[in-house]
Amino acid sequence: MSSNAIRQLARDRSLFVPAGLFIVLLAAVATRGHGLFTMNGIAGAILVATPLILTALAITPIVMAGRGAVDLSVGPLMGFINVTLITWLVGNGVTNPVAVIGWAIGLGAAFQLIQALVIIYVRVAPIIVTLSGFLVLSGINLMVMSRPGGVAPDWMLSWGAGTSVFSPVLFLLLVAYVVWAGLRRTMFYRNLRMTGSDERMAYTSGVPVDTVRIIAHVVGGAFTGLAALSYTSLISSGDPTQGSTYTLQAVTALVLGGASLSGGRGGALGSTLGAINMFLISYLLSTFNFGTVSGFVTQMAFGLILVGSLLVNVFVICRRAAA
Amino acid sequence: MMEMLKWTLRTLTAVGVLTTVAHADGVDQLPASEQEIYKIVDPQIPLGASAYKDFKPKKGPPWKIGYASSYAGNTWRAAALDAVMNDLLPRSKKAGLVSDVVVTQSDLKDAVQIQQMRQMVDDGVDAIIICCSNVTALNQTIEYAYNHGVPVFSFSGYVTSPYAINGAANHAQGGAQMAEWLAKKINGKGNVLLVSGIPGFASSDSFDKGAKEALAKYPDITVVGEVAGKWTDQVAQVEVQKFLATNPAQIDGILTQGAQENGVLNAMLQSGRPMVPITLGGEASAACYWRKNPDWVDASFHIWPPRREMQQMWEIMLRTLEGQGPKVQTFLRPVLPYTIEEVRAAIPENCDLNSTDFVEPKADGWFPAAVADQYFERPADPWKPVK
Repeated sequence: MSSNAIRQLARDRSLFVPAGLFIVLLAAVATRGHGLFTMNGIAGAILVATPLILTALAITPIVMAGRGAVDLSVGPLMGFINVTLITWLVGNGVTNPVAVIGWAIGLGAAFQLIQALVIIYVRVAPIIVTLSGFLVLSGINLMVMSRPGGVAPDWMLSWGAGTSVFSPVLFLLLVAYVVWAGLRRTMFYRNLRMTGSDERMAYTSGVPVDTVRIIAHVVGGAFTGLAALSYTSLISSGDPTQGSTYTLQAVTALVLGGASLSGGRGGALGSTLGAINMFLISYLLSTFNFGTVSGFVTQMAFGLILVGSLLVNVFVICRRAAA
Repeated sequence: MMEMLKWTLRTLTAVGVLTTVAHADGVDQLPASEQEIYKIVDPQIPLGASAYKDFKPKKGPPWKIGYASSYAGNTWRAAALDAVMNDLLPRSKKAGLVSDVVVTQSDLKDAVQIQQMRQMVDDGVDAIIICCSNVTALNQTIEYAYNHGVPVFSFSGYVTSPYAINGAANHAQGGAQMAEWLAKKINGKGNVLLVSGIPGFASSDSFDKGAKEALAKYPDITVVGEVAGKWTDQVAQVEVQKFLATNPAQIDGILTQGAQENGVLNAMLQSGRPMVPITLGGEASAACYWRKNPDWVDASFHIWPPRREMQQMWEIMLRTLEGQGPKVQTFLRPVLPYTIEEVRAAIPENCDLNSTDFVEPKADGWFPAAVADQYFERPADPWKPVK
């Protein structure tokens, strides 16, 4: 972590819990074995965790824009980009990296633009719009590709090997951070936080709230495109149903990372920590051998850690409010 | 430039020829009786020669085995896991073949399963068993395991990776057989409801494909609906109930995949409609209803008997680790029909209508050693104790 990130940590108390949990989990994983702390271990971790980190990042600006705008469509949207990439592009011989990457990011941004326009101009509650997006895309994905199959473009096949830390997948993640860091310096970021905290006040202060919301969605959509690229390289193929599982995970990661679902508060660092923590929880639980009850214990432990972490989070925030 | 192009073309053709030869090398090496099983097959199933013909394990025995299950919430998976923990593992331990089994569960999330499999490889397991997972998503991970000397065995469903060994019943043929039976049972005409398993999963899709192709041969049969039962009685029951409640049309028969037929049966019983033929795939609960109502249907099918399929894969795994050299990438078994006599022998008169068990073929009835021997280059008894 850079010194800037540490300073941000010290300033933003909502990051205390995810950062603390991160350290605890890392220590716990270390005591359970050293598999993670090898070249292959870290490379694998980056490969597996990146789609989740990026989907969590994708919904961050949208949640920050307020109105309880949890983007439920993020998972199926990622799946949609994945299956169209494999079926429509690669299936028709289009494997040019520029076209593939452009398609992924463009499609994500375009879909989110449509959602933003519906939310703003049709005035439907964001959660309903994104829920519809979730349902529609879940269905369309199965129409585009009825069952898992296909192969990723040749140049992408090596991305999923997961044997090198400095892989193109890590590069996708870095691109997202660079974009986010750039956004933080702009007026848009300040307006986004104001809009999310109190949309009416922001509007009366002359913040173009509609434009802010549109940009938040488009940025989120572009990040979903990056997530879809990392996901496609993870599975090296197309899959119509798996994307949907990412919605809940991304929302969980977001909340674990200390973002507020009511808007205004959140950030790339928190969402990243939340997603990494989820990966570590899953990794840690996999090191135990629960035998015949493995499935149930894993689920239960996962749920308990989530609840515990959220309770501490609430406790910290309450104390701050009281102080 | 032209030279280069020609060279590339020539290499490509050579590779192409090689793969066809390799293909013939796999199944063609089996005796004719076994080749029969490979006739109607899901075209996505890889039928080439095994990559493990000359495989030698890194170390051992005893070996450490990883079981990366993708789901745990149904009776079928519980029975399969029970077979490992309470039968195969103790026997293998006693013979000095296996030291430990590590079990993980990914709750249908491919990314988690990928992470768990990589983790197993990094922690030094000697072989990984997976079950009926996504057919393509794990391929990179399977290659990763292969590169680290860890063979991956997929039971009750295939994966397309050339570095995996698959073992299952021929689900496409089974689907066709069960559809065929149902079509005959309803005299080749009427409305049929399909109850799929988990769409997108290997065995589920193969079954549906075979079943639909078989039904298509009967012009008077209409498929009026398709729901997914997730191979879980409760899910199947809810899905079929929903369908029956919203579709007043007459249903003449229900074609369901195995491991969920009791849910389908219960939904029919609750709906108050007259009972129709339902395909049975080995659940002891539905078999119990059949035992009490012997005129209901006239056949049931061992389509994916959990303990036997697991045992089959386990023995294939032991043989591979022992260096016996599997000939083929995919081991297929025929789907075995059975009668009410077998049910009477397997479960008592006062059987439990809510049983979570399965009626399964006899221990050596699914993958007999004599048949198994023909699938290996250097066959031997897999259970022979290590001195």
